[in-house]
Amino acid sequence: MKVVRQRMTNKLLKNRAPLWKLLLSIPLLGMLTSCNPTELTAKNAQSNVISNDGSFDGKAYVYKDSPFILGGPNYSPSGVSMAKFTDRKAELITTNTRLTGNCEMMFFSFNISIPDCIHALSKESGTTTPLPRNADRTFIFSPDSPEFYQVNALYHVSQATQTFLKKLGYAYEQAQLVVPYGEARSIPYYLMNSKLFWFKAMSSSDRRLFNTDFLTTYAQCDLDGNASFSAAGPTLCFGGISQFPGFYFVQDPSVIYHEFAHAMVSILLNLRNGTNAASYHPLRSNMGTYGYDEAGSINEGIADYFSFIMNKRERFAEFALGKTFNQSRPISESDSLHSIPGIEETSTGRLAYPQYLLYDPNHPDEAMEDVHYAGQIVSHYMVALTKNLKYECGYNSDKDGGHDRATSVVMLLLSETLSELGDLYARGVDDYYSPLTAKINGSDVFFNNLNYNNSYLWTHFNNPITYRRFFQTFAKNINKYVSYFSPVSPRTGLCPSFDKNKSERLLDDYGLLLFKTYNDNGTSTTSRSITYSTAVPGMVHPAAPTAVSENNRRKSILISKQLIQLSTRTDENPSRVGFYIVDNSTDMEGILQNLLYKGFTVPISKNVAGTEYNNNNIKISPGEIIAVIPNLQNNSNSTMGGVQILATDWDHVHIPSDKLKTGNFKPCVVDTVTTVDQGAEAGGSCTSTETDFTRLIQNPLTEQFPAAAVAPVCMVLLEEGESSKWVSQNEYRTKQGLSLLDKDCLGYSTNTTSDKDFAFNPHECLVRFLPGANSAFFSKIDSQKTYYESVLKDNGGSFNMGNAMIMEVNKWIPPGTKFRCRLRARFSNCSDCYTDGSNGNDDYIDAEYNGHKPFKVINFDFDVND
Amino acid sequence: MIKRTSFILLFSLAIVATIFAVRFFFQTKPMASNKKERPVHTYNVNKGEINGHRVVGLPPGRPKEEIKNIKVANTPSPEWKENLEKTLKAQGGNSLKEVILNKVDSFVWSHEGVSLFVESVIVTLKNDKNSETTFKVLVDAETGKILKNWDQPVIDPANPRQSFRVKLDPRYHAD
Repeated sequence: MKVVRQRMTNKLLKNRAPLWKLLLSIPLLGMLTSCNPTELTAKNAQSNVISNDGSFDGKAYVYKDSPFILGGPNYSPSGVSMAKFTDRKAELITTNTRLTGNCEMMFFSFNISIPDCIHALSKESGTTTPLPRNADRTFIFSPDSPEFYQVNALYHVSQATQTFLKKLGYAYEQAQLVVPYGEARSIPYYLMNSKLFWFKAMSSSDRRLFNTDFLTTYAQCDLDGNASFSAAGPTLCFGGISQFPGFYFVQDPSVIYHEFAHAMVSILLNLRNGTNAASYHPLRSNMGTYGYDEAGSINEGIADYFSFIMNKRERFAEFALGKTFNQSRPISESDSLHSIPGIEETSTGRLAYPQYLLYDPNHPDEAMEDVHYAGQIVSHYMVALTKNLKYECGYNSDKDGGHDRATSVVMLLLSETLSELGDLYARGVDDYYSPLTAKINGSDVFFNNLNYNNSYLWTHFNNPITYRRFFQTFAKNINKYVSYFSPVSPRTGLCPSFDKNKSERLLDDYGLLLFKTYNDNGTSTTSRSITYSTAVPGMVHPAAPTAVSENNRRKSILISKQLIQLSTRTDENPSRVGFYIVDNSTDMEGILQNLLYKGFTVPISKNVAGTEYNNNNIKISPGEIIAVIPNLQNNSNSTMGGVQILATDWDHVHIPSDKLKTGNFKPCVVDTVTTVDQGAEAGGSCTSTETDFTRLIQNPLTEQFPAAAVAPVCMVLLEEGESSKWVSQNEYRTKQGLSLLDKDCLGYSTNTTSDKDFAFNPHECLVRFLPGANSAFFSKIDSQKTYYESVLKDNGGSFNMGNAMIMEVNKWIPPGTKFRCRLRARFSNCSDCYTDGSNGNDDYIDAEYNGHKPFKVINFDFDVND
Repeated sequence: MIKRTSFILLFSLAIVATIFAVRFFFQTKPMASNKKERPVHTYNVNKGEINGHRVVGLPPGRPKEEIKNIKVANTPSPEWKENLEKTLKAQGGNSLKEVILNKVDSFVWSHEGVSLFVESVIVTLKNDKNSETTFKVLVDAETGKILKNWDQPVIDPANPRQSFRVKLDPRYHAD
């Protein structure tokens, strides 16, 4: 059997190897060439043919790093030849006979393996069968060939997978070790059975969740200018850049690690979402939407950090992003890419939130709202935490400087945090033995994300993963797993010397001490009087939430929600605008197409609205589909970060008991804008907040609407004689000479005229924010400025899709009709959006996010006119 | 005289009855109150299934007997697929080159007070630049209406500065 061996012809010279290496290599080269026939392969690769005595089985020559690292910073991304950079030692690619990898994870001493968990292919349009190994039982292919890149992709994805599963195994063990002390933990003990540590979950039923039961890597996919991770595949995709022929993202292993980390985040978020094939949740948690948001930013920051875990370098994508578009990203303050004076690894020099949310280190004067830039705060914090752990815990005396141990601890914290936040079973933690069955008096009890049925809505919209929610949970886990020390408890944390104060100060250095307590008292989602310990006798948790030491809060400034409002025109600022409208058909069609390409469907109504009605008069007209960009204003003296505005249904109406046939409601008095005189209700069901999320749709069996429900945000002004009152759109459509049938309403969808649409909500018959595009996110608003003045103005007035909500307007609306949409706003560094000061600064329980208390109500008033 | 009166009375009654009968058989009801006969469902309590579809949405630990109380509101129809494709094409416009729908699951979704037969579908779209995107949707098994949408791709551009953005109308800040 012969092995064709490639190696670089000029590597030693180009890498400026020391003289002694050159001298040593001469006799070695001589030996190799004298023993074996040598053949020249394509693209200057030199090959030696040697015998494979079995020691080359499943092996190939791979590049261990990018051309920037191996070839020097001047290596061009045009006409890349990786033959120069392949390692001299053959590496095991896989023991399988095809280009697939195997996964295994240790659960204490139990080894659970999943064969063929990774596949490498060339591109989506190519074959779906992984390459077989060569006749010589190796995976050695000509450098720069499609096969070569598939081999390298599998090698690096396998390396990342092994690192991830090893660290998750460590996290699993550490999490289970707290159980005997009665403490809650999030990584579930049944992970071994569910196999949700990988995409091949639930044995034969996994096809219900994914297209395939393995992670496919497309080494050279048809995606120009991008690399991506798709959870539905699941697939990793590494494209090229058309303006740099010969360049592929796969040539930079740090990009492979980054994309793999998105897959890792997807796994960790869903660790708890099933125990076996019969019990998986039908939905899965994700982080990130179609534009800017904080969940997406955290996801990017974690992905950059994972690159650091893999290669120990404090800069990401030097070659793939740096050499193509000057977009390489630093991962610590000590990296030389930071050119702004004062950025350094000191308390005052950290990349702090929200100041650096728009910071592009390569263009520090050109602020830009993007998840990748905002994510740098997360990656920098995590690297700083890793360094702190190495030093404080004495890991730095390890052979590797403590890198492995410190990053394992950070991965433990990440795993616990993400599995809790993404839990669609809405428990967040397990009891000792029966993880999903906590009941009080026969009723189900939930501890995060409201409840089983609405958990997706909660963790993605109503109480989403933001810098505040993520770092509050992350910090809680530092206290539990790292800092914990009690003179009366036999348990100690992994590193008590990195104590709560040090943890809080580091978070504060990054402006991330955005919470007042750790929310660790285990309250249920619907009642403060029900806690972990009432659900599971013997479970230990503080009676009151552990408070942050306010002395440690120096940079993390919290602001009252009363200081945010819709921008208004004043004499001083005559050009201020409250809401920007996009109603030209070309832009709107582009927006809708872009959303779809990013995987976000918006159910456009049939026959009663469409972009063909758009008239580009920057007003709201019948039949249009428009984008609405709220322009919020910060009246405080500090910067607001993570501003979110919601147009999702919420509990702001009272449904009189005699209106259950129609569901017609009276709006509740929630502010000074909509009053009793205008038809609002101050009593009745308005005095409390619903603990469940029930939409205002008709029950097809009873033909009644619920007596208490969340309602669409937009009401309409009904003018009858002298009086005017705000009413439901369902009430209005039967009055004012309209008599609109269901089929003439927005959102009505059936096959035939005799079928009914059981998901149809008649209370959004006239105008509605489209599901899937009914919330908007804004990175930050500077002190005493509007969002436009803080961010958009410097970008030439361009907004990203995360800033926009999409609204449909029924073509049958009479011109002049007045609407009021009650939107809800909050932000991450808000002092009173998460707690109202009562209950010892304990966070609001999840049910309260159904109402107005955690938000500032923003009234969007408009007329519909031709 | 009596006979003539009886005849007129009977004749009038017959006409009235005919009018009512015609109205009864040919009346058109408004959309909102249209009803369609729904097939009877078969319940398998032990398996937790209705018509062979498992029920999803009952919180874990809920007695299986509760399944018997569920009345599913819709009736599965093969048209869901065509309707879903139409919905996607309506949003995708001319840039959408190919739609691939891969049904991966069917079940009864008990959600927000209504139980529906639903299909869980992996959608793959190809645009005019031959780029693919894949995500998941949950749709009404009768109408194809999208009820939920998740597992969207995470796309990392080489240059975030070239990401899709839309310019505000210059008329807003003409000054």
